[in-house]
Amino acid sequence: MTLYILRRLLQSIGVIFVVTALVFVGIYVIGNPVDILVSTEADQDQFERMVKILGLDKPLWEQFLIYLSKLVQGDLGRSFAFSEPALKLVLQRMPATIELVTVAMLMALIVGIPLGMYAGLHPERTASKTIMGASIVGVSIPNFWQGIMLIFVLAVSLAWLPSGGRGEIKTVMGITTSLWTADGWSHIITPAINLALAQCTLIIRLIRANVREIALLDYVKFARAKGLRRKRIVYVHIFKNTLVILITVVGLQFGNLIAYSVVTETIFSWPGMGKLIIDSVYILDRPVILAYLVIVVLLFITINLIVDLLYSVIDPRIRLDSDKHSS
Amino acid sequence: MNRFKQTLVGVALFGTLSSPIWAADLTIAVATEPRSLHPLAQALNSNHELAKHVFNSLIEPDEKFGPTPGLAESWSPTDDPLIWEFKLRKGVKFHNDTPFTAKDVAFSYELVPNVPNSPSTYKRRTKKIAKVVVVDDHTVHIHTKTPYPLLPRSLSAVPIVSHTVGLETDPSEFNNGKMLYGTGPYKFVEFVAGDHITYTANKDYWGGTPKWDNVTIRWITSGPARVAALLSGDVDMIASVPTTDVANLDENSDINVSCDQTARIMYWSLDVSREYADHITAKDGSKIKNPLRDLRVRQAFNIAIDRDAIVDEVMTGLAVPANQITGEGFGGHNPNIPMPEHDIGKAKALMAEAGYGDGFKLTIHATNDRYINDDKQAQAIGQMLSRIGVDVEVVTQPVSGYYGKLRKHEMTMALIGWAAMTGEASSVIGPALRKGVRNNYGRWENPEFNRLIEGALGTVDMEKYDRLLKESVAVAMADVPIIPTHYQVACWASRTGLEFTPRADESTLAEYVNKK
Repeated sequence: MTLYILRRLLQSIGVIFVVTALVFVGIYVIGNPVDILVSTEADQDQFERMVKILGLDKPLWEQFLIYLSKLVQGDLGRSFAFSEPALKLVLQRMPATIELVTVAMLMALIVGIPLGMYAGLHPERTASKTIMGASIVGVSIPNFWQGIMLIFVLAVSLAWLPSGGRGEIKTVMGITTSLWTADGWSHIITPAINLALAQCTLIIRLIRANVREIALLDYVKFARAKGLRRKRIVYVHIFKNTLVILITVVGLQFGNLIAYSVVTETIFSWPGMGKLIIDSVYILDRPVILAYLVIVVLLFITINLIVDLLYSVIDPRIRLDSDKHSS
Repeated sequence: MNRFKQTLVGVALFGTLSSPIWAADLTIAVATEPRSLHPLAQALNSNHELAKHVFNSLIEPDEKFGPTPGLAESWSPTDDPLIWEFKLRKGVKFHNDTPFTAKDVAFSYELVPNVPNSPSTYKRRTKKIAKVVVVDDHTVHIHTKTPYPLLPRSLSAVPIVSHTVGLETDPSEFNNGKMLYGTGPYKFVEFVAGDHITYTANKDYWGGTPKWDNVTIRWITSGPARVAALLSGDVDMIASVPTTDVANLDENSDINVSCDQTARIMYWSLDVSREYADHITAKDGSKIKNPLRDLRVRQAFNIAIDRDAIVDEVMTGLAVPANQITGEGFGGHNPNIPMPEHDIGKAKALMAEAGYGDGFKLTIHATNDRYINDDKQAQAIGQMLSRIGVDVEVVTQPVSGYYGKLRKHEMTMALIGWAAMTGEASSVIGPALRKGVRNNYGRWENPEFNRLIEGALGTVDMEKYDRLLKESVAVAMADVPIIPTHYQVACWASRTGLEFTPRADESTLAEYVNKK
């Protein structure tokens, strides 16, 4: 077990190294960040002074080595644009993103699982066909358009919910989130729906396909032949077995949403990491881009680890320690 | 997409607008987040408009950059043209109750080039200052290195901070609000990065009680979302109204739109120096000498461009045609410069006269994410030039890397936007056309122009300065080293009952919002 986690951590260090190298080369190819950072008013003096302050006067490989040696000590550098520690900037905005993604994912699960089960168990019913038809809408409408539509319907025309922003934030039990306040909830609903729609579709389709497949397997037939109650067959024999694939996908999607909720955050002016990273890419703010990527890599690794651990809980056949076999 | 947005706004017009109860609270949504709350860290408008709520300058710029009394009640050059005397306002206090004195002025100008961990771009505005002499608590003598007529205008952009801040203070101490005390109309309350900043009225403000009790400024990057926030009543006013929405909002009786010309000039820089330009070839692809070195070709370009079409079609009317660096009402505007008359026939004749009757091949460059409709402008210019026989290829790219290439002179004809930071022409033509300066992308040189502009910037006789500056603009424009097309217009929209006075520096300031 410990060995397994250690191996995972080693992998992540490799990934971080590769990502860092790519970003260094990528930004170097695009241009000099100082060209964008220093306003057109700046003269040559200021330009060179800035290049020096940011350490951009050194050769690329040297900059890279300096960055790595600081990274090892946990120092991710200062943002070029904000003159603040890059890690602080990213972490400052992370709770907002995680909060939004969690609510969106829960919405998708609460709506998606029952609908998917229903459609899978009764594939021929009209209701099932309606669910499947409607679910296509969720993926085929572009995220951006969906978001604007939601704002215009819920915020402008009906004036039920605010048009954007994060709402009031409170700290309870050491956790600072907008979910502690009613105002916070009223702000999170629309962007969460925007994020949840596509996920919901995915979950419905996934569960439906899985249920249909499992329903035909021998052990289900056997359970039915044994005379088990239908409820027990559905909830224990079928549902529990869809969980493995569900957790895999939800885990992956959760990471994806955290890393790529940029569009939703921009439309709803949600002060999360996505907005920060877009602005940072625009002005080639290398330390922030890197700090963000390092955090995202760590998040992905953690989520995957949790998913793997959950596997072994749900399905005893899956074991993490493969020491006895090849590694 | 644009048409869709219009439809949406159209639909929204029929929806009911929730109108909040009248309160002296104001919520504004602007497009760009600040990079720092430190008033002197970076000369960016998104930082500066926030600083203006909390801090004052010695001289306050009016809507068109005109100097008006701020923390200084009066100022003038002394008999020695290198020394200016500033008489400071008495009885002014910082938000932390310390009195404002000459010491704070000297400190602020010393801090400008020395802000830790910052590009310190305000340095250009104070770099002519040799030293600041504190005569008494309310008198300051500013010594300049050379006679400098722009001192009041330059200083009008530099906020004064308290000397208690200290030279070593890191800008992050401003972001957490600790050092954020000025003399301005509003006191800092709260800052949530990426979301909003709130202020409360400074009841002891020297300029009278501020207009609003509480001010919230929110950052909404996406244009349609900004419009939605206004229509839903979440905010009282928005800045940077998307050009596609201006007409629709204007028709809405619940919304007030106010637009005005800014000090931002859009122009095309031309490579007029090199014998062979990077992006010009003959039509068959063979190398030719740079035609842009010929004045007649530049003149042909100048009149082949239909400015009215750019303003009406590309900019949907939200721009003002330009024939020089600054528009009417701004410093250095020379009314004697004629507006180039669009004339394809004459342009073709000029091309033929210069020996390019068959035209040539040219690649022009523009950004596609920096200025309003920048890529469309480039397309339009391409079509207009093709009518005089030039085969134009249009290349657009994001602003990242664009100016770097320009400075390395890797572009032959490129779109540039430049806001005159002092509201007068020399702050653009000085750095953009003088011999050997970094932003003279086309490397134009003209001794007569250099003599005039240096004369203008080397006297404190304001009449002489004005005359020489206008002459220098005329000399430059006659040689067509750049082709100005239009001045950008900025728009704000508010719910009815509020009225915003547009500012040419594009700042959104709560004190400029009036109840009707």
